[in-house]
Amino acid sequence: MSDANRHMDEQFRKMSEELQANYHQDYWKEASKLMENDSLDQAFKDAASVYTAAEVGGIELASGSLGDAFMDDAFREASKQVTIPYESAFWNELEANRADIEMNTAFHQASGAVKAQYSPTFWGDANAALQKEGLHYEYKSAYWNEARDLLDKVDRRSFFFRWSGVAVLLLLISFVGLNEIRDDNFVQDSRQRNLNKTTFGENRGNDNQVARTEDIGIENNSTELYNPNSYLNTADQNSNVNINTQFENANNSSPISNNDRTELTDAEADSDARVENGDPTNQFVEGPAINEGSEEKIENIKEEDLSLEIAEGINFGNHHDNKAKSESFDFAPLYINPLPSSVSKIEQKLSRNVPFGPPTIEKALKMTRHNFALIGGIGIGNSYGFETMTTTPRYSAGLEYTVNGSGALRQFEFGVNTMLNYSTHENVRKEIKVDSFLVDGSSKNYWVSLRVFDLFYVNTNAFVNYRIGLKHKLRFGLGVERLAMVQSNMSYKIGDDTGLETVNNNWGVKRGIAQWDMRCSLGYEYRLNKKLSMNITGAFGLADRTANDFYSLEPINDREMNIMFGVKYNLLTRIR
Amino acid sequence: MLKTKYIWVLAVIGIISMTGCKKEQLPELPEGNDPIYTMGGLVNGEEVNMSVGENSVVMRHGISSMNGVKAYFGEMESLTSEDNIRIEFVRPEKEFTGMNYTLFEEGELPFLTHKKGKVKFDFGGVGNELNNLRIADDNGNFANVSTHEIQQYGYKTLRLKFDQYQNSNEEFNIILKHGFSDELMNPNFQVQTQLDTVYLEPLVSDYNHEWYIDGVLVSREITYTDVLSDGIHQVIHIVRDDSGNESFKTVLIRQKWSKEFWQMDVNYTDEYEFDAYNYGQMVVSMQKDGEWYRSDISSENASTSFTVENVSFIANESGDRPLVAFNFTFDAVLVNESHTDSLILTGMNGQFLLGLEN
Repeated sequence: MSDANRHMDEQFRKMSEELQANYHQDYWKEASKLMENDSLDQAFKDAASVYTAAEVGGIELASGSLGDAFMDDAFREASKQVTIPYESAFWNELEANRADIEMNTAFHQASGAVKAQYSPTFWGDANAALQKEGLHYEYKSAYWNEARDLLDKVDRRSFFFRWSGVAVLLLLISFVGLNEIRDDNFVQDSRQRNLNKTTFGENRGNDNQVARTEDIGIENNSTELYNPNSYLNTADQNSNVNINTQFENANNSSPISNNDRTELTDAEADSDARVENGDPTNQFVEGPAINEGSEEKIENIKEEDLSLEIAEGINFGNHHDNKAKSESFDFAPLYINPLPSSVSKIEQKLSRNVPFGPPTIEKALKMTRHNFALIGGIGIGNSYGFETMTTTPRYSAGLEYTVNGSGALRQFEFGVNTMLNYSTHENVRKEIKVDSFLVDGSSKNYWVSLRVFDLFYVNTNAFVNYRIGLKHKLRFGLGVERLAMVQSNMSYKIGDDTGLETVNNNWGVKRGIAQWDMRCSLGYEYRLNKKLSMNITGAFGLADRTANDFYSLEPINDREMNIMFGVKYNLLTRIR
Repeated sequence: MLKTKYIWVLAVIGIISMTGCKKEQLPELPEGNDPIYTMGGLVNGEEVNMSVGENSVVMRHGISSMNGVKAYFGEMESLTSEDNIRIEFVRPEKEFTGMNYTLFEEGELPFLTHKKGKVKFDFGGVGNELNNLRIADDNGNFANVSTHEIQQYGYKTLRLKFDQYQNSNEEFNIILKHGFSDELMNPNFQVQTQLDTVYLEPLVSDYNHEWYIDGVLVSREITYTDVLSDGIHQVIHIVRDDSGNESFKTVLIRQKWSKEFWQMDVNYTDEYEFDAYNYGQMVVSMQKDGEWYRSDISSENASTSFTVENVSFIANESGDRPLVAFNFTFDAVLVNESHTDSLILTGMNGQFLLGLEN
């Protein structure tokens, strides 16, 4: 036990003797433990200085050297001078107001080291504001439990690892210009900041998502503040105003008088959001940063925008790219929204015909997007009939259908396409010479010369897309191909009485060309905008396209191999 | 909706374009087969192979004349070179049995090898007629000779002129069958005259007969009797059996002063030995570098033979030109016409074809 505590203990013992009360050493120890708080200590000091400096002349209590052990004496001396009897209840009252005193002290510091505390009374103000706006709903503690379940550590961990892997992959393929790496750690960082009582200084410069994170849960897990409009506010720096406003509202609700409340000033925050006095409820609800941004967004958001981003994954970190945000709806709240379905109903009222609706995780992840597109490509491939690699042009066109995955497969797309693939070749030739020797010593010679140069295959592919970024996809496909048409030139002589017949640009001969084939493909797709995408795809077939015995070729294997550069044009998209 | 319309338009265009394109199937070709008629072996130690239908080798076949004697031949002819090979089969004396050809059977057939013969002429009692006889040599020059040497087997036509005749420049022909004596078909006949009447009577009457006097068919009876004017007359007697086998005999007779003056007989001298009967023998010829080489002029082939197997008579495509096919093996020595070069054929074998008609 330190000297100070020992002295305090003795003082209390004397007090017990004088007051004829039972005193035990443990009483002081317990009190001492409760007092081992810097803020509380400072509050005591401040309280002592107020009483001594302002009203108790001649008694100086040096805050730096005065310890807790002298507080009791100080109170007694002060009581003698002001003839106010000291009662132990004073201590209890001081203890009861400790949080307010601490808050007051923190605001006084007004620097970056603000330690905010949320008070349940905050909700009362916010609730009143919502009622005024007709948005009242009853908050239940179960909301947070539900949100907490959705954001449990397992999900966060898997989420973190998954997106960390994607980030690494993006780095590896950065040579193709991938520059939109998502901030995978956003949610976890936000939540961590909540738990650590994130300072305003940290919040400055963050976007609205950070602000909303602050809105949702600050320190007190038992009480949540939810502003449904925040989900519509997608991109403005005024989000910080929410935070400022809320904390000022909190101050208004605190037991400390408004006169003692220190005004928060944020040079980077919107001046409109600064609240000095007035009705905090109105300020909270009617803050321009909230309503203006959200309403505008409601008008601009289209069904496709919303669904597209839902399908393509939640955008967590793309908050510095205003252009990207203008194209897509930011769904970060989907992951951090802890609100129950009752809240979703409110948002459904807000936008009855806009399916972005309440961005609950469950609903968002269950939304599927059906997309139909025209696809076309041009490229090069191997020319059949050569032992060495020789390339010839390839063209393709067709229709494609894709549907996004859901749940654990939400990063995937599944689809099928049907394409007409054209290829031209230079060395697929056939010369048929048949000698028929007759017993009379004569012979008949039949001769046919065939050159195949154009092949058309109809291809049906099943493929899987894996999104590696907002605009980047990897594709793997497997398909079946069926020979559709063959163009050839043909000359023949089939009798002594007939001359040489020549048929050019003939579509009637398919012999010697594989009727069926299978194709594997691997590609990359880059989305230019909502309608257009570009892709590069490499494909190879499994079957020998040309019959070596028929075309009198060396034992070569004319497997189809090509690299195609394609364009995809989205015809229509349906979201269900 | 608009996009759907575009798709339909494209589909219709595609269907129209597809259906409007030329679509001709690959011609159906018959199954090929290996060459049937081939010849292979060593020629002067070098392997030679020829196949009809390959490498521009074609087969020609038909009837030829071996010094006037009918022969059946087949020839593999290269259209791109002058290397040809020819096999001739000198007809048998009787080619037909019933309505069928009777050429040869499986076995060994002799090579025909020519031998010389010398004939002399007998005018009966008119001994000085030899002094008037002039015979054309191989160059067509007529000379008064008492004998005539025949170099090769065959039907030899002698061109004769007689001096001290009413028209000494008149030419008469007589056919000598050197090496092809008539054993199965005897066309010989007797000539009897009485005053100006001549009586022709065959030695064998079991045939169909045709009598030609001075080239004019005068009778198909067994015998012929008629008045002959003074002069030299050529009498040809053709005998033919029911199967179509035939033979002939040519005789010159002279009527003078309305009676028979002489009948010219042709007889061999003893100077040369030869085979009097050479029907049904083989002759092989080969053209090498543009020059023909033959087996019938090489006496070395007299002791060799031409082996025939798998003889089959077949009708050719048109049905009216019968053929005979057979497998063969032989060794032979072929020499050129000047007897200055030769080809030694060893182990020749293959399958060959002879035409029986042109």
